[in-house]
Amino acid sequence: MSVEGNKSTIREFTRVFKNQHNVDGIDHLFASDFKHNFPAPLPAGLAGLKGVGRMMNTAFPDVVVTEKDLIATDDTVVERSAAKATNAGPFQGRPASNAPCHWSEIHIYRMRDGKIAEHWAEVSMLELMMQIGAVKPA
Amino acid sequence: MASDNVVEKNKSVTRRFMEEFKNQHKFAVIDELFSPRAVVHLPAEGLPDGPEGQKAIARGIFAAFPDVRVTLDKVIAEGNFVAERHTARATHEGEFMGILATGKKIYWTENHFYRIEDGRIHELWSEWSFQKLMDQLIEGPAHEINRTSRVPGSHRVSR
Repeated sequence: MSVEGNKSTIREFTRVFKNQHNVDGIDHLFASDFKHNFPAPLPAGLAGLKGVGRMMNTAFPDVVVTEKDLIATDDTVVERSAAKATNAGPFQGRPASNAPCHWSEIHIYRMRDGKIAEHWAEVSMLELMMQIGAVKPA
Repeated sequence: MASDNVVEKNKSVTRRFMEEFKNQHKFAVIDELFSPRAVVHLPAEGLPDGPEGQKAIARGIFAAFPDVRVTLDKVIAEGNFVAERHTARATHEGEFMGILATGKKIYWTENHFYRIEDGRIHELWSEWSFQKLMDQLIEGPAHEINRTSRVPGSHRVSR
């Protein structure tokens, strides 16, 4: 699959899954043996990724994710993005704080035949936890 | 559009940053590899701007995790950008984010995004697995530490 095709797939994923909050509208973008790398106890595969999406959409129902940079080769895409949201729902066992939140993300996607085969996400979780009051600044 | 040659040169800049600075602790390499006006987006508060911030955050990491070794998991480059994924493995021997040395063998992961121009890093974004690390540090009892911690005031076990 071309570099441009891989980039389109990721852009569609971000648009539908995150910005349209449509966790079930993206199955066609994923390889059948897709592997996420989120920690236990999430189920394997796309079910686990959807679990994370539902959890985030519950905690941050108005989230808007903006792509800042996107690079790709013929088998990998890296997306750097910024998220803005209100913590209007429960998150990781804490009730809604209603705090305005912003955080940053860097996602690496391994691609195969134009579909997402594997995903490694890192986000500015410490920054987010401080904004919702879960972690006190030093 | 950057040629393949520039892309390979950019990857070697990030590789040197990892190997010579993060693994060999050569602080002078920061001044060589970063533009003095580089914007460094660090995942921590209260640090100086630019490359000095990178040095400051590393001092904290090296104090808490003196044997830290970073390995490269992935490198992707296009145009003036390089992205990398690393795993850092270390023993928790000094205070880190309020947690006194536990002696535990831990690891964390990082995704980085670099903008490189003329062979120097002009901008760096860094995200790391904070929760994954904290879960390891707080889970279960501390381990006996086999050598004196290098950070004054942190937990010491005498031999």
